[in-house]
Amino acid sequence: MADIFTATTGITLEKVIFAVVGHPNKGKSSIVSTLSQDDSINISGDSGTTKKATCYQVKTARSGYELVDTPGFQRPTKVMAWLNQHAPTANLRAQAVSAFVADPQCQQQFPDEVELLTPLIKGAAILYVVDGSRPYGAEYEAEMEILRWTGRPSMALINPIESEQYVAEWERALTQYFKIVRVFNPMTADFTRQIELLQAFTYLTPNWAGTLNTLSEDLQQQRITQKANSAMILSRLVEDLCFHRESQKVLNQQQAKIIQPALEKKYKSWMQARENQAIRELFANYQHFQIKIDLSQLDFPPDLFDLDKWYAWGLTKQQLVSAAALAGAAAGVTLDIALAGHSLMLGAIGGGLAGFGSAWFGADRLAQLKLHGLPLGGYEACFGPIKNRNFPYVVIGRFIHLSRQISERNHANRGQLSLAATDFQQKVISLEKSTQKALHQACDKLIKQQTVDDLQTILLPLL
Amino acid sequence: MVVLGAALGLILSWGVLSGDQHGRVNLLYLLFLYVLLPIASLLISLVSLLGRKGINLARLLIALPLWSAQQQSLFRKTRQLNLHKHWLLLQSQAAALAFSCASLLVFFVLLLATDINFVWRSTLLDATDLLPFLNTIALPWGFWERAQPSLVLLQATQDSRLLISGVDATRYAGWWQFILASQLYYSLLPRALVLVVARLSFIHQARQDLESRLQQEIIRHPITPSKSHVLAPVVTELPSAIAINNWCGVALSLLKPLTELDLRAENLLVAGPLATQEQQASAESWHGEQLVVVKAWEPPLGELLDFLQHGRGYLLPLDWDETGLKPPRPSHLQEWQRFVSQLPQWRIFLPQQLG
Repeated sequence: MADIFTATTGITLEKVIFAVVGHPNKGKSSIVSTLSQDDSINISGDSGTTKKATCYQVKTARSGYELVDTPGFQRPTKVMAWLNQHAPTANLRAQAVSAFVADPQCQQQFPDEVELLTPLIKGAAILYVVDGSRPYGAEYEAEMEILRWTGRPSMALINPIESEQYVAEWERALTQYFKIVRVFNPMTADFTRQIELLQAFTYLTPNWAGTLNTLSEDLQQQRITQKANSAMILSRLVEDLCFHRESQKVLNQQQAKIIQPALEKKYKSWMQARENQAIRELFANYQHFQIKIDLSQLDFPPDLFDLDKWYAWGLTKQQLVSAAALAGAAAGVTLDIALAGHSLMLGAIGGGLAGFGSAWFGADRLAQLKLHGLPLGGYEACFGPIKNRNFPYVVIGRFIHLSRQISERNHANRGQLSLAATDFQQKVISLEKSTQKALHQACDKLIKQQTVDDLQTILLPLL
Repeated sequence: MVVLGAALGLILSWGVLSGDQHGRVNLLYLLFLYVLLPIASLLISLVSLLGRKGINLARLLIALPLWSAQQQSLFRKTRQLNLHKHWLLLQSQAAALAFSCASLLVFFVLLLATDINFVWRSTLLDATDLLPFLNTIALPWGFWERAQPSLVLLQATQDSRLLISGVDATRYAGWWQFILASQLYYSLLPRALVLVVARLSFIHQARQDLESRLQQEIIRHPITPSKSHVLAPVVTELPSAIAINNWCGVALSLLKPLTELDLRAENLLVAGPLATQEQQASAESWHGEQLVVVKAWEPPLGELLDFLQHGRGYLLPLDWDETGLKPPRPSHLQEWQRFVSQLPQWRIFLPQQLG
């Protein structure tokens, strides 16, 4: 196999291929899914779902590697017997494996083993997967021996599918066949752990170090980009939700009252659909496409309009009052500066008090119906935008919480999300004072339907 | 914007082309309106796209308190997508194109309905000074003979407000093709071209936006439906005379609580990866019914399938830990049921105490 490729930077890097092999149903596809960040890979409790070796290319800005998902061993004892017959001495073992793969009769009798061994004889490294929640069995020895015969660099991964009860037992057995043994749960392994796994191969195959180190840097950069993208999605969401209103032309006030429920319903459903869209985009940003999203099924405030839950997701009443006072005072300071201090700081004090008052007394206010006269006669009934000061914080709080969950979610994990309101207020407090101030000023502007130029930058530290 | 451009085109062209009471129209004014103005505005439009800093005309325009809530929402969206400059370019080109079309319309109407007398006046320039300038303007339509300027025509149409001529009216109409070509080549065609390019650029930029790319990705990755399977039934009773095949190598002591099983040595078979060649051969030659004991958590392998093809009986998927036997997990049991559903001569057996 041609083992080099030229990266976009012009640096020549070694081509890196990992074949994920093992018994059926031990999490091979899950590992491929997590490492390749591809949730379209079929993960099934049904054994034998992977019939053919499938190559997944993991591409980054400057580097990349290939992961081959293979069928599980089906007849390892018989294959071992065949190999034993064809390799009387150790120096002929790798050749015997190649002969096995090339043999038409073997291809017919042992299609799974031929499929899984083919990438190995073409130069792929081995990632051998076992289940650490079940006891070690001697029946695994035939397949581990076959893998040893290939002579390829190899690492064993103990996947604790249900528990870690038998991990030590497996480690004792696996170290006899593999130079590196790691415990790796594709459902829970965080990003750092995934990088560590790839880095471990640089010790086994030093000529892959360039590719793998570049890859690690790229993947870390990719995380930063994904975070910035999340901030962009959030900034657009919060702006859209804070600005949105529904309106309809009416003849008089009575008609406006009649259409109010329909207008309110339309307004709320638009707001919910917009938030849903942002969440889908957030999933897509982290390359999750197979998760069915139904906000009402999540352990997540099901209703963006549930005022009782707002203080859990936005700011507490005290925090909100401080934020409003801070934003009001900042606006007042601008007036003081404009008057070159001749206002004796009354602008800052007055602005602060005005913000305090509006936050305290308007905290429980949601969107209201308003009626505007039209130049050509008649009225326009409007519902929204929401004037409650906590509203932007609620939207931000919900989103960043979800964002954290999604960014840490592995692609092998196809279960539903379970979320709960926790520490948004804490997150705001832990921000630098200047960032806090910028956030409060931005939210203050948004609630007044004023655009904020650098909203994405202000929101980034929260993610 | 389009309406505004068209209205401006109609009014300005009508004003200039109407001329004085004798229908005299100053050629130089027309060149200003149909050549210099379009070129200058086109350059301004293109330069406004370059460079990120400086006054953003689009933002200034959007900030004007003229727009409806719907329009403001549209502007906000274009700003979010960082497309407000492209949007303004698109709008301005559409308006300029409308201006050109309206000007052409007025020009045709007046050519048809009135006698436009094209003249030129200058204190400083004479016909020989003006000709090279007009020739340069007419370069793009060099193939159009009748729309080319000539010294004779220039000299013949030079006018002074003190003189009232008009001896040969057809001579004064001689510039109409030149004016038409000027409008086409310096106003209509460049605007149409820039409008198409601006539109394509707008669409391209919009598609390159993060949200648009993510939406495309979502469409590209539809949710794959989960498959359903046929599951073989589970039986809880065994026939009285049945051999026990210890495929998984479980310690026989673990099986003692299962009183249905005849665990006498002469009733035992051993096959599978842990069997010796003799044991395997003996098990394969067995013709009666047998109960094959397997590990519930291990999926059925091809080796087992090969063995089962030649026999008949029951499969017992067992699960155990240090404390003894325990019921198999439903997911594991289903895996075995699915496997056995393809083997008509085999069934799943699960003792009642493990059910």
